[in-house]
Amino acid sequence: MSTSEQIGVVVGGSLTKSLEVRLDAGHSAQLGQYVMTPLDDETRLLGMVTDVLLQSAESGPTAWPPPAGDDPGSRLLREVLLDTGVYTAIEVNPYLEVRAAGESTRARRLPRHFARVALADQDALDRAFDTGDRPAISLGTPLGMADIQVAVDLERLFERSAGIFGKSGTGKTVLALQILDAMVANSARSATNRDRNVALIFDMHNDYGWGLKFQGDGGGERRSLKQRHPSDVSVYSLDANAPNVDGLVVIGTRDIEPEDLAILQSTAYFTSLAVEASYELRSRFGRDWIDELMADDPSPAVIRRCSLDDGEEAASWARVANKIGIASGSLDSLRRGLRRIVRREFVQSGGNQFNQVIDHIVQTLQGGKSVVIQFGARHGSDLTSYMLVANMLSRRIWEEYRAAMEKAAGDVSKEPDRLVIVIEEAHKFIDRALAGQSIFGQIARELRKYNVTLLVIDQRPSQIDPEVLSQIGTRFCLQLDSEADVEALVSGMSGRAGLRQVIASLESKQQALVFGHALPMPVVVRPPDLTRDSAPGASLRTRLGATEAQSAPATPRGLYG
Amino acid sequence: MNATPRVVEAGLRDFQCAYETYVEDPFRLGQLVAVREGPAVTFGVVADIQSGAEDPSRPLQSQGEPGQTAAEVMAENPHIRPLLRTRLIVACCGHAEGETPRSALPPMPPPLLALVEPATVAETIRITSDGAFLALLVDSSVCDDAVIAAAIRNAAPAFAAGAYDFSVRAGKELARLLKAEPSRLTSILRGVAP
Repeated sequence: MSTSEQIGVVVGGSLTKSLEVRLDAGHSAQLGQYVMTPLDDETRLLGMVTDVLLQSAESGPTAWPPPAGDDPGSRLLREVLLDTGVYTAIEVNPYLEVRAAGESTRARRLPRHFARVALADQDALDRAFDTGDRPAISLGTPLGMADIQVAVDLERLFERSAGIFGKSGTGKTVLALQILDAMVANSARSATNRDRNVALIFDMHNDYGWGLKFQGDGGGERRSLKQRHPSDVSVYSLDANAPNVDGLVVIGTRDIEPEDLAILQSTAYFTSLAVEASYELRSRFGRDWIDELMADDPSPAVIRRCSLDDGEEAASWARVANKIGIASGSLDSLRRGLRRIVRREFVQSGGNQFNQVIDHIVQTLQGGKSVVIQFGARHGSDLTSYMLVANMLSRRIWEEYRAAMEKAAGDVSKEPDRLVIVIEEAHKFIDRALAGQSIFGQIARELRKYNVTLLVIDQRPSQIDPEVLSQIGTRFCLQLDSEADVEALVSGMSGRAGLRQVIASLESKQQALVFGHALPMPVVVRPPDLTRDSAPGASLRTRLGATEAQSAPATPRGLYG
Repeated sequence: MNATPRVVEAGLRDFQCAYETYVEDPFRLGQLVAVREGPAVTFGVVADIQSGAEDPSRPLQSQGEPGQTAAEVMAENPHIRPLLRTRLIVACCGHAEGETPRSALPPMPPPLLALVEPATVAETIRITSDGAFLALLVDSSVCDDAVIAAAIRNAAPAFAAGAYDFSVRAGKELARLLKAEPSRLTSILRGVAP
């Protein structure tokens, strides 16, 4: 047992709910802190403080509280009653049994009454969060334990999809950047594709490419991925005039398929009937279907394919709709929506420019480089552009990955690097109505079958399809206001009542509750600061306490990638 | 004249002692006293003090001229004092066999006619420091709240600079003992406060 100072004793509780610990006089504990208590000589139970309670031993002191005056009698009475008639207790969710030797296991036993409880020390947390020699990402310091560090196993983090959730301004982007920075740094020093992760980042507000507009203390700009890892990150933009980019994303009208429009229903561009009609029109008019529909009147090719050349009356889109059995209102809706899409500068009539972009991005990703797709000032606030491009690119790249994985047929050396697709405003893609049509719902559900997982960044987790959300393995939860959002995140977790309390108590910045697949137990952390001079890969650890810079460099990836 | 009282009635839970005659400055209410004779040193707290005629059938009559003080009347009537007695009731609150004091009843009553002396500062600290002695006082039939408050108040100076901390510690022990009687606790602590 550690020599950490005792803060209280166990006075009750339950394995399925929480332990009640009465605090010793003069001690306090914070929500989210880790505490430990002995189970036997070799094992400690590690848990998290999920509530702090003011209790009274009897009703007397609270029914007749001591006077508030400062006279000696009142003062003495108050001091006497503290920690006797009234006292402070904490509720502790028991999570892990930490052994002096061997692996930690899920808590299945409780300590005895009056077992001493102390704040967890670095040794206990090292054993609980042990990542061995595998690369890990520093999560920062647990709440109220400024001298203790915890880290998450990088491979386990991206083994399944992960999510960063929090309301606007809570630090989601900074946290995501630190995670991606560590991931890119690790991939750069990994010799084999088995150890490498690459990211495809749909960067709505130009935060992950060249520089991040930092809104924390001091403001200004922080170096983003391209500046930190110039040879390991490529930046693409939808904006033809964007600086510091390696390529442009251009979409030809021939590249757009009905599946790509389905996702835009939530933006009110298309009705569901219009999307239904698009499948029929695509099948009748071929790859030029959009260009055909953009014409004021049906072209001779359309007239021929719809058998309207009977000379009875002038060909019109209303007749086309009637002829092929769709409502003319649906066709009008479809044409209106398409017109709004093709107006965008990155959408060009005809051609299949998009395939070249896809090829280039896939080659870049399979070469071990991460890709940032910037939407820039012009398109960053345009959700339709973001959803269209993210969905189109992800669908096709996922298909490439699926083909590559099937071709590799289990030969790990031939499999592509693991891909993490980063999307913001994820609930727009994978809400209840669209999760079945969005490629992101499919990626989340198929786990890493095709070596592709998601890192979703979102403010409204309650809007995400519950089935998809349940596949988000590791969750970084910053401050959330909506009870529905909090409930959606902790649903299905053991001790969720306590987790709800912890989330409710998070501060508006730089505090996150992290829990799920990659961690043995939830942890409330203060993520590391993102300073102007923080080194590339600063959050990467080969083991707790050792930064990448302190680790022995691996074979340069350039030789392999 | 011997100004040290002796045990005149003894039980395990309390005993009475008496001075040979009437004294104006007997032990104080709540004072910790010790009987150092017998198999164990018995400690107790003065729970009551009574002065009056030795023979209850011959009660003291009021005497003296207007304006005279009690001391002046006594000096003018020296035959009165031998007819008077001062008696104390002491509630037992601990004992010591050898060097180890215990906040528990003595194994047997103190011997009759044994001398009753003030406890030393060291004894006071050893018997009272953890507040456990209060359990016997709370249960004693001869102690009321004023006695308990006086006992704490009288013991506190033995702790010098730690007197207030002792009062808080003793108060917490009382709070535990009187958890179902908050109003009683309040009244005792009002009597303890400096």
